[in-house]
Amino acid sequence: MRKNSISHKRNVSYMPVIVTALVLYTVFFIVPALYSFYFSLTDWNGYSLEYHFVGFKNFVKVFRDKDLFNSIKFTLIYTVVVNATTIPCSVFLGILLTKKLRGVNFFRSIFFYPAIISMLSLGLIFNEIFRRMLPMIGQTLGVGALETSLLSTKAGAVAAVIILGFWQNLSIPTVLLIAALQSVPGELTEAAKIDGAGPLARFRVVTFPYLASTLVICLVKGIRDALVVFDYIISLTQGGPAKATTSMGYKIYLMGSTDMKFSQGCATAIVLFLFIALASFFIMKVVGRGGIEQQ
Amino acid sequence: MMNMKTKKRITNILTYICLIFWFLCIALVLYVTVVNSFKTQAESSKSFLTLPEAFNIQNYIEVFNRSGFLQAVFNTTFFTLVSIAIVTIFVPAVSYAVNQTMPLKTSKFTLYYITAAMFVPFQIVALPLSMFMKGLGLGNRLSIIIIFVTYPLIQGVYLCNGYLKTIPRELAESAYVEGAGSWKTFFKVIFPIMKPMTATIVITNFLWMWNEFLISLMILGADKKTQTLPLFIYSFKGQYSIEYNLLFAAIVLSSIPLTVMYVFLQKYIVAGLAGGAVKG
Repeated sequence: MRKNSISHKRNVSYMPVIVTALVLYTVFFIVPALYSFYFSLTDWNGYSLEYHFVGFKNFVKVFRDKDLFNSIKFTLIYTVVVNATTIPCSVFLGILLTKKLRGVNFFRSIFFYPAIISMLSLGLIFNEIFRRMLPMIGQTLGVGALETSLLSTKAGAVAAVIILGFWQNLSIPTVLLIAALQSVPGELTEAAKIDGAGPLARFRVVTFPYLASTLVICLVKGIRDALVVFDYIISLTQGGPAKATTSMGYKIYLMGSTDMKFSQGCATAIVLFLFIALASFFIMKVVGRGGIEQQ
Repeated sequence: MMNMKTKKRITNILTYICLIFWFLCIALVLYVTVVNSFKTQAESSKSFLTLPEAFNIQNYIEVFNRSGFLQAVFNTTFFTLVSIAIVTIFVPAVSYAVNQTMPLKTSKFTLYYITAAMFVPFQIVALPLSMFMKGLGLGNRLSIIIIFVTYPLIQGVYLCNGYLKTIPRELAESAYVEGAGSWKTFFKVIFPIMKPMTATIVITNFLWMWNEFLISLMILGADKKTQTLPLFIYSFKGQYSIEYNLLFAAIVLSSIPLTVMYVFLQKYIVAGLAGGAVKG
């Protein structure tokens, strides 16, 4: 009884921290999020004094409107391609970087560096590379394919955003997978080798189970980051040419600021949220199953 | 036996080829950025790849003299340092309080309530937030700091919770019974134990705050006085889109602090990020 009242007294003194945190989080995250839900059911443009309830009209529009549909398509293509390339490549690089070779630490520290630079700066740098540097090189070498900027065609611009996404997003999964690969017991691989398992079989049976939980984290984070992509777009392509690279994240921003389609923007944001929630849930269920529990 | 050796040699050579290839892909981008920040525009227009004739720092001087640059450096440093200082104490304290000082049921509920936001994209709050902040009349500076202090809670509490589960409640209780005040218990007993997790949270959020763009764009907009470095760089592009040499110089300058930190704290940064992910 005495102990209980003591710990109760102790616990009470932490109340102010909990209350502060809950108030901040509720007021500055939950309330704006609820506002978003509320406005998604209206036709408010962000400026007018009055607005009306329109039910789920905005949500229907997300899939009916041609521009919005295209931006969903681009966002999904970007997400799938970037993750389908970075994750396998980071497993591959991780395997190379856990070999006992000279200079491996040097490569590790360079390979991680892209994660430190801001997405915005990289978008601007790649913009100059694609728009000026590559055509210049094309002209000097007389390579016709390089002479026109990649950013001037629709497919080229999509490829450019993907290249940038790949370039930067390879770094963090690689580091995480190195850590996971180091947790694979050496005896197991040796035993499999003696049993005559080839490198692929060894990877599938011995190594993969140790990577599964890290892969889930990389995929969930990678897919989430790709679905909300904004900084690359505003700095590299500004959504062009002909809106070919207008991602959902960028489109929402446009709708809320210049396009005066506030409520439509809110509805699109909610659809984006559903994509993220579905993808995360799916990955955790499907990929997460193949692993062994660590810790 | 000989065969095995040559085979190993070949795989090693292939390994190095792959590693060097990716190294060159990264180095090329960094090289282009740095080299052209030292060139005059006439030089760059001849070739992006050649070294500058002379390392002139004219571009850097011009960036320094551009109105708003020093203000942006100050603002970003101010926002990041103040928010990080608060986050360093606040996130572990909240996590501890939620995890170990609340009744079990309330604790679980609070935890779910806060961490549910992990699946919510910032875009959902982005549009109403700037309007909301203006409505509250908190001012730009305070608005940014509030956001920078609040949003790290979402992942931070989740990460710390995993870590705190391994610490028995009795540990802090016994310290308290022995006469340490409740806050003294936290700082003397709990905070030191949580150091590795706190490091992860501080590092990831430092990177985020320094480079953050969308929130600042929504809340600060075009206000020069509270502009952050990413906003400065972005406005640079709009206004002087042809002066890419200056843009490169501005980018290099804004990346220096994190780069220096990375060079000296590399081990901790990499381990911190990896540690957070493994637990999360």
